[in-house]
Amino acid sequence: MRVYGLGCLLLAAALAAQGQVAEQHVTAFTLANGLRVAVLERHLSPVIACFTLVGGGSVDDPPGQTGLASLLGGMQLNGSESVGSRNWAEEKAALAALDDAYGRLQAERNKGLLRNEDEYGKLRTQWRLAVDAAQRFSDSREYRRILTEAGADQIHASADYTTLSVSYTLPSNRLELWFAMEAQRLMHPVVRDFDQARAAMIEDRRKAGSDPRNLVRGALLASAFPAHPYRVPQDGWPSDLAELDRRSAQGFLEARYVPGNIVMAVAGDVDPAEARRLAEKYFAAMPARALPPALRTAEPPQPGQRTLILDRDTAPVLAIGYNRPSYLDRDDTALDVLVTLLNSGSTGIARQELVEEKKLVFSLEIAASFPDGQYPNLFTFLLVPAPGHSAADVIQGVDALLFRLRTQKLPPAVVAAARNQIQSQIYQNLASNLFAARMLAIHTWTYGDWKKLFTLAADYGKITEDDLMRVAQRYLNPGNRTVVYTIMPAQRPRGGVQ
Amino acid sequence: MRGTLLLLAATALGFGQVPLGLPGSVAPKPATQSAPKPAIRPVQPPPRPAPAKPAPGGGVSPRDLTFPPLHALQPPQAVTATLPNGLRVYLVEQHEFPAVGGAVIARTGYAFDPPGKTGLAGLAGMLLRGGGTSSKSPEQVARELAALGMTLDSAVRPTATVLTFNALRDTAQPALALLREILEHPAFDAGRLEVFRRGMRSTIAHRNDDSAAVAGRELSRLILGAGTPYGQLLNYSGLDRITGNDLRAFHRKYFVPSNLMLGIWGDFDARQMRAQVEQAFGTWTAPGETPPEFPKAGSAPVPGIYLAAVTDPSVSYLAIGQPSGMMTQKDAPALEVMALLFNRVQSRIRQRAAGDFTAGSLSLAGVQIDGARASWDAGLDHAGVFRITGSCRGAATAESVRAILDDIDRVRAGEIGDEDLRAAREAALSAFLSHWDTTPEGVLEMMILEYYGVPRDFIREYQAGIQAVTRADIQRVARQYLNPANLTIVVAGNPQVFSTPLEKVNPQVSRIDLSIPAPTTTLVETSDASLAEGKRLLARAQTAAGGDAKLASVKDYTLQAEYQIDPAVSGIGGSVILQSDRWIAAEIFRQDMTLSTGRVSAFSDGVSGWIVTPQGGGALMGTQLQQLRSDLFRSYFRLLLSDRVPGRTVNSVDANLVEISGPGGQTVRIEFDAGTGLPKRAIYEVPQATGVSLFGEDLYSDFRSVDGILYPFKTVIMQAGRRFAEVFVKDIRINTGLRQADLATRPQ
Repeated sequence: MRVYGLGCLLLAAALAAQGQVAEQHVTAFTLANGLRVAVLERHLSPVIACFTLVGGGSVDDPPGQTGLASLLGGMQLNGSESVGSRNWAEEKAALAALDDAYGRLQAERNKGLLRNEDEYGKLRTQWRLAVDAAQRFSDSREYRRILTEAGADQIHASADYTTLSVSYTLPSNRLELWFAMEAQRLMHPVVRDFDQARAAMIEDRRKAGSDPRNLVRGALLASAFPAHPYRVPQDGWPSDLAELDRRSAQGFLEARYVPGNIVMAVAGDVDPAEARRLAEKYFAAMPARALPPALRTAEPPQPGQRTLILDRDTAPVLAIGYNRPSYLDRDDTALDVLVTLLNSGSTGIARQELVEEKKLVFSLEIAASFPDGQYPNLFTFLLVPAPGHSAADVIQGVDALLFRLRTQKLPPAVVAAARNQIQSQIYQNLASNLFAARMLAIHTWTYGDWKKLFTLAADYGKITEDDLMRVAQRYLNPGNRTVVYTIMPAQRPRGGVQ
Repeated sequence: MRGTLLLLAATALGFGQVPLGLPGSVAPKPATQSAPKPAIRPVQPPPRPAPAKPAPGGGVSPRDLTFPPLHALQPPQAVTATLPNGLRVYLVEQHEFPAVGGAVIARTGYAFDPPGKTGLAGLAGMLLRGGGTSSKSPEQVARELAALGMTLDSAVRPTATVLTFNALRDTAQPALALLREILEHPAFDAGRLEVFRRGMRSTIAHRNDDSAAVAGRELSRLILGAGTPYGQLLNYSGLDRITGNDLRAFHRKYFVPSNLMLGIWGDFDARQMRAQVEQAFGTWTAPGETPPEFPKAGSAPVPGIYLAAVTDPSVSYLAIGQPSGMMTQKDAPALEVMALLFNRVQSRIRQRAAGDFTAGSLSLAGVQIDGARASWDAGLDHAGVFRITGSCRGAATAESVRAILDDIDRVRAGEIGDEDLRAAREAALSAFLSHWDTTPEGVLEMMILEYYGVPRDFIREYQAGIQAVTRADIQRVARQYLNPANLTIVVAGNPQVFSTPLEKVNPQVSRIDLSIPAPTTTLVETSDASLAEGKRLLARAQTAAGGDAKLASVKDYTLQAEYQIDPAVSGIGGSVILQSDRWIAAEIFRQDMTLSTGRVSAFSDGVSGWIVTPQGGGALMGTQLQQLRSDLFRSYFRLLLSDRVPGRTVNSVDANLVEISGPGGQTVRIEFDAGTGLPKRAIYEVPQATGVSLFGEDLYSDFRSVDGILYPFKTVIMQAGRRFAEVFVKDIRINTGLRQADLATRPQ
């Protein structure tokens, strides 16, 4: 399950650099229809890294259709009307018949107790036949085949909480292929092989083991977000997943494949003028349309500390999440420095204190943003207590550490080391074209300005021990947190529910 | 080049055949995410309609595009210099970000391991990165690296040792200073050496665990030559002979400025950086020796089938190959393309076979080859092997070998589609170009070219070469390098389950001996001097602990200790075990353990003994007896008096390190604290039921006085390099008048 990547501290916000020459090699433009393109020139090797981002992810799953975006993430390369079809006219008709068959099946199901089982079974058979019929016209591998035969490498398609993305590298003389292939799938999308992909996802989910840490992460999200969709597992509730339908999936993509909702970025051996010409050639015809609806539900303020205890017959696991604002908040960079300083390598101060010195904790993960940073989220500790220590001992240990962070300034040398580590890591990552293209797209989309990629890090360089104390005071206090831990039933304190 | 210490241990085996970065590796970079699950396939897809379809919406169909010629690689422009002390400097300005990075290539590697001391270069590389310096502990070095935002990795190859680093523009100066300190003054501390040595020993012990690796390794050994560094295996005896002095001598010889190449890229002015490098490294003068020539690898074909018999009957692993020249030979681009072409042809044949199977045809059923794939691993320093590797159902081994040989015939016969050839060429080109698409990679690749004396033009010619590969080229190299008469075929499988004997494929089947030569009992040669030094170190420890008379007065002891088992240990992780040891001189020993599942007691009088567990009891034998004896052998008071225990030898093997061996074949190495003289660490083998011992370490601390004798109240036990348990002494009493009869009484 890639649902709860505590470590996945989406680098978007973490990512930034200090005033830089790289900036001079970036060209960005917006087409008349609103589609944005960013180009980073690097002429070392004749390769390009291409990254396309579309706004829309798991938080946008329609009610009762959780898991939809996650499922679609990997299906974005199943083709278009003309790529991936053995005969589009016939496939189109077959897909419509499939959708109708599924609609009839759902209508019978919606009758609830009045459902006629014989009728339902018959409709189910009809639907399955329709799936097979549509399948005959599908060549969903063709899209990837065209790419690989042109030398594409590191092909990746996925969805996260708020975006859909597709990326790969190409020999640089294939720049036009990227625009042509992206125009195919974005302007003429077809959701094909849907039922097969859904079955595969259900199977994967069934096979995935039950790591108690994932259980605790899921429970943390469900408790800390009573309102916001972060509460829902990214790959959906099993009951929803089983009922997802192709027509909704097609609608989901069509609503989001809107020029103003797309950012394309390319890094490598590329001529910006040529990129602009090709962007116009392939995308000027894409009609401007209204953006998809923005998520309205905001998490109401937390009235006080929440604690959830789970009975579980395994070694105890503990998660603590402190409410924090989104990537857009000015405190974001300070929180990133804080997490680096607490957690980095063998030298992180939380690791040293909780693992090495006090031996309270066996393993420890700290993330500045969980599960994602686009909306207000959680600064999270995930801890496995050391043998002989209870969750309460560990909470006390974390509290003592955070109390010091709130009341005492950290040594400037410690803060400087964290700043250096974070910046050094960013520059190392940005050497990769693929990473750089992704960051340009993400910053364009998140902040509305690719330049943020470069200015944000200047901000890392400015973070002081005062800033860290301020954000610790503002966010890392007990009234602002949700605590979840497992306990063996035998060790549960008497006195019922806490 | 992001080698980790663990990776290093593996490469030091002699089978890090991957050449240094350069185009060699045909396998594409692993995708960051695997392709989505293939959907359920239709039974038989209808044939594709013939006419090309116009793209709906009036756009241009991606299938009809034509592309301009590909630009040539623009290798980074370097400013080079050679400092007066001989250090070769390679500077590349790169102003994108305020960062710097670089690499050091030392002209040494495991090809230069002295005879009888294989593993020396590998250990040197590990200790350089992870052993601290003469004035800084490893932890201190880690802290300094972190403070500078600096990363440092090392990798040891047959003919090069490479360190790579990253830092910030503003920390470049202190980073270079730290780098020099690490290069010039690494600490080859005996205790650390022992830890890394034990890690390498365990890779020897486990080298036959993975049959796929066995097949690939043996193919390399057969073709490149088991006697060459490219085919040589580590062995216990050679590894055990290596001392801190060997490492220091090795370092003195090869890690000198005239034998190093330092490349730095990043946000600097090359002239200023050159001055900075002079400042940081110019004062380092050390005489070096001219390093020897790189040894040659075998390059003559070794045809035949070679069977490495393993026990697992379910799967066989195959490795088939032939020597194929160096990276710089003229057919290199064609070989690159042929590897990828073979993979395409292969996967299509398998898909078709799977299709036939579902359709009811059994023509190819039973030949289930999982992912056979070709690769080519030539280097700039030695000839490589063009190889095809795969796995299959054990019973169908001979059939699968034949199926792969048939596929080879297809490629040789030129049954290659235009589309396949085009795609293979593009994939080979992408794989090649991807080694150059970032400045750090590009600089390192340029350094490596210079290091091996390859002209700069090579790289552009290579790119052009791949793009120009024709069908005729493929046929030519296939005839030459996939010649059935010259192929070496290695099978790692269980011959008892083969439904057809391998002899049916090729009558010439030889067996490969996989046995691992046992370590010699006496690990290190003893001399009068080393025995005297051993005695001196032990005598110093005796004095430090309270005097030999005090130690000798201990006639019995009773110890209560709490074992906190590390949570990561499988099965019992996280549990706390109470253990009581009772001992009467000389060899009466009783252990009682309280576990969550019940009590375990064991007793030995030095000759025989018994054990009682919740499941029952019986005579102490086998592994359990060995373990109890091993514990007794290391029992603190007697260990310190080893010089007067009959049959024990105390021999100094390194600075502050002695090896104590007993008549029963037990050995333990004790490292003494240079300051206090007390024992700091014991290193020993832990007998396992599987027969392959683990190595264990006891780290002593918290010494407290017990009747005038300093005793370690805390011991950290490591097994195979991982933390196993922490032991805290709760109580220890000496000379309480224990009686053998009490100890020998079994619990009810």
